[in-house]
Amino acid sequence: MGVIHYREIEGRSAGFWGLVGLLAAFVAAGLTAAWFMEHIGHIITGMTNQVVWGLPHVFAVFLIVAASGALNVASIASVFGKVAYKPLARLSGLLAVALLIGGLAILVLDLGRPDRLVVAMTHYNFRSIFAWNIFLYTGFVAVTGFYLWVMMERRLNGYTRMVGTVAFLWRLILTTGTGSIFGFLVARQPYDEAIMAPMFIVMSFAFGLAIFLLVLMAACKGTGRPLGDATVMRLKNLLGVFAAGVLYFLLAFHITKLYEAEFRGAEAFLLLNGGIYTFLFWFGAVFLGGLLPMLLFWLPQTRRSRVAVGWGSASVVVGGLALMYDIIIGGQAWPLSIFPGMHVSSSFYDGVVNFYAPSLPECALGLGGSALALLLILLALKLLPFLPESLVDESVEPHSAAAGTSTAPGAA
Amino acid sequence: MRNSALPQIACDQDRRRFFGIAGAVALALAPGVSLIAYAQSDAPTSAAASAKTRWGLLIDTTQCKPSCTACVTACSSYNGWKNEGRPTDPQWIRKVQVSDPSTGFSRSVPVMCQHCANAPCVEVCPTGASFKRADGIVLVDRHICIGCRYCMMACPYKARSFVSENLSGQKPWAPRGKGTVEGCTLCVPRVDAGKVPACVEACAREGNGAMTFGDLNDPASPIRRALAHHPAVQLRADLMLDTGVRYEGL
Amino acid sequence: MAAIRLIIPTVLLALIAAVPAVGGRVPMPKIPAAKGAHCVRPTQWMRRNHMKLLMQLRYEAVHEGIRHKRESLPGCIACHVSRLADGKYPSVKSRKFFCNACHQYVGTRIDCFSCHTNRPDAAYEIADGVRRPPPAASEGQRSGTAAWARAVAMVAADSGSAPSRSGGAHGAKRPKGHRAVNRRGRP
Repeated sequence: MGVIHYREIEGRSAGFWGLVGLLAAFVAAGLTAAWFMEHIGHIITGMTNQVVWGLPHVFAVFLIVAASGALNVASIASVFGKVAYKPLARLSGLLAVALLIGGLAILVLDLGRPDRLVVAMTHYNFRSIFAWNIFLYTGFVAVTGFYLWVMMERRLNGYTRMVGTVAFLWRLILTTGTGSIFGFLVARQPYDEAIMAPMFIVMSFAFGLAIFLLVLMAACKGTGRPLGDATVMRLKNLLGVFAAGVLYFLLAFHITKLYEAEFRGAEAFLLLNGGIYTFLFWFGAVFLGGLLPMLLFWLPQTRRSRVAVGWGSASVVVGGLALMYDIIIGGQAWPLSIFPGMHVSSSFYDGVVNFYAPSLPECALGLGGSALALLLILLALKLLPFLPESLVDESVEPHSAAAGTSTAPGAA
Repeated sequence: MRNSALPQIACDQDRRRFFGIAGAVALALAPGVSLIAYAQSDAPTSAAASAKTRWGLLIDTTQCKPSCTACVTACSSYNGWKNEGRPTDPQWIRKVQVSDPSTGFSRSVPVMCQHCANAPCVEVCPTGASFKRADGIVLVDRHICIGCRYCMMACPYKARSFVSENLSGQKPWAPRGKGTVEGCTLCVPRVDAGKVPACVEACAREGNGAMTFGDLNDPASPIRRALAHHPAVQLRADLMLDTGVRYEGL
Repeated sequence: MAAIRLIIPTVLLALIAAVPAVGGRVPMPKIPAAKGAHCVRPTQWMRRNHMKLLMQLRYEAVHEGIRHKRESLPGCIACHVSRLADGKYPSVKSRKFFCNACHQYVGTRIDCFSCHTNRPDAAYEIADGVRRPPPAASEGQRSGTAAWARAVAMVAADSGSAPSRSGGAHGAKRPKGHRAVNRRGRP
């Protein structure tokens, strides 16, 4: 294969600055929301003593999970030695860092006392998976930053595989930690399953790759850089497999839950009669997150269409957000079982399905963090050479242009 | 220039030596000084919490009247929290009406922090703000609580509340404020002063005396004797949290 | 261009310099008088070290259950906060509130009172409330030797393993070197 030339994007057009301005406006709105939340209190959010984690956490966890998944493209190149992915590795690392920073910003600004961030950095309880995550998240940014440096500095290229392997293992541990935040919660019936950790890993594969594909296609289109079919089709096939993987894990998760009588009430709520949560699960997570993209990617009518790849990737993102909402909010909407088998009532909403409606500041904070991630990506692309000048099939992998367009699942 | 630098260093060394001597003198003198000046100083009103004690509560649900909320009112007024019926309002203690749908058997029980020996809130807290005192009382150190609410996710009893707005007029013995998590403290200032929690006192005064407070480690204590002779359960005993609050007649 | 580059910083500097000139010097803090006869530590020592003492008392009270009546934040408030002429207590933001008198002067922000009340409570009131003569040793404080000893004690408290200020208002771990805060001569 030929030498890959990376170059900064021009970033002078009205479109570029317009996009920067739009994203900056969202970031500003998010910061304003956080300021109000800190000064007035969480009373201005929809979060209560029943639903203690809300929309900000949906966005934050989604972005953090997607961040680790976005690194996969680089890992496939460096760790598993697939040269076809190598030109994309830098962008992959950039997305990983940016998405994680966006997610963390939301998480931190939602704290009751964000001014005490220094406390979180100086006081640790190492029995807490949250405390571990503080190290895993900041470490991930450091490791991935170093990985990017090794990839971009010619003299250090020799270490790419070694550092890439560390980054790959780190991201696996990181997502295990994120899934375990919920998996360890024995108190709540909709959680409390070890499978949540690997399920989050597969979710990260799908969400991260979907965002990667969208950013890649948008960046190439916006800068007029050629993007070969082989690359797009290879990534799309991989994304289809990951989406199917998420469906498989959801199936295994819920089948296990359904088998245990203890969890049947919660399962009936989430899968059958939970209103918005049932809808988000079946239409959002299962259809938009899994079935629709698989159909778009592999139906004979659409399988060669770039537009279908775009819509399919967007569908995975929307379905992923729906799944996060279902897991985080739906899981809290179901009441705790303090007296199993008994009918309970109290002034503190015992025994009733908890109500939650996100407020404007929460939406602003969640979108602001997402916009921050995109803004970081956009500015980084302008400042440093992350994006190859050309991704035409011949320059990426001269001998396998035909193989790349294969549409069989798992061909990639 | 080099020459002039030399005396400078010597001077510095002299100064250091002076401070070293001064420090040594001070170390020798300082304890004596404050001993003399503050012999009449403030003695602690309570000794350090000890692991020899394990504070616990026994609630006899057969004696708890469904209509009575004396414990809740007492807790609210002693600790200064208010429930105005909003979902964001704190409830350190609440009355839960429990009934068996198949038999109609029913009970009314106060539920608050169960002061677990293996408390999930303590395990999940990233900063260690949620902690267990040596004598088994589970507390939040609000000085280092960052308001992440993971403890509220982890607690099986819904015993924790989050303060969602600015407060004023707090009780001096029960500081509480926006952005931090709170819950039943077993009225720790009262316990340290040798009194029983406000809910227990109110239950004895206005209710049926359904609550017994005492040391679970002391075989001679009333709570321990009652537990030795009557069947009592822990809520969600399957979780093996070893709660400090026990229920009789459930 | 060069001229603009010079003008802008000059104007900015002039503005910054003008601010105190307009407002005059920041007035020295007026510290409200306390009710008790003397503080729990020598006043000079407290001025430098009250935060260390508070941190230690806070740790002991919250985590170990060792409580004091006077040596506690409510104890401080009971003694140091009085009603104003209008019969009301000063607000948390007021310069007339004891803690603010200095903290606003030196530009230190504390967040104790988002949780703690800043109103005195009868339960922490010192029993007699009468200004008593200072205890024996402090009578000699006016003499040279006692003043010297006090100064030396302050150096000792500040030197070596003194509790770190970097812990800020947030450290919960027993402050490092907390022994430097002398509690009635106990090591």
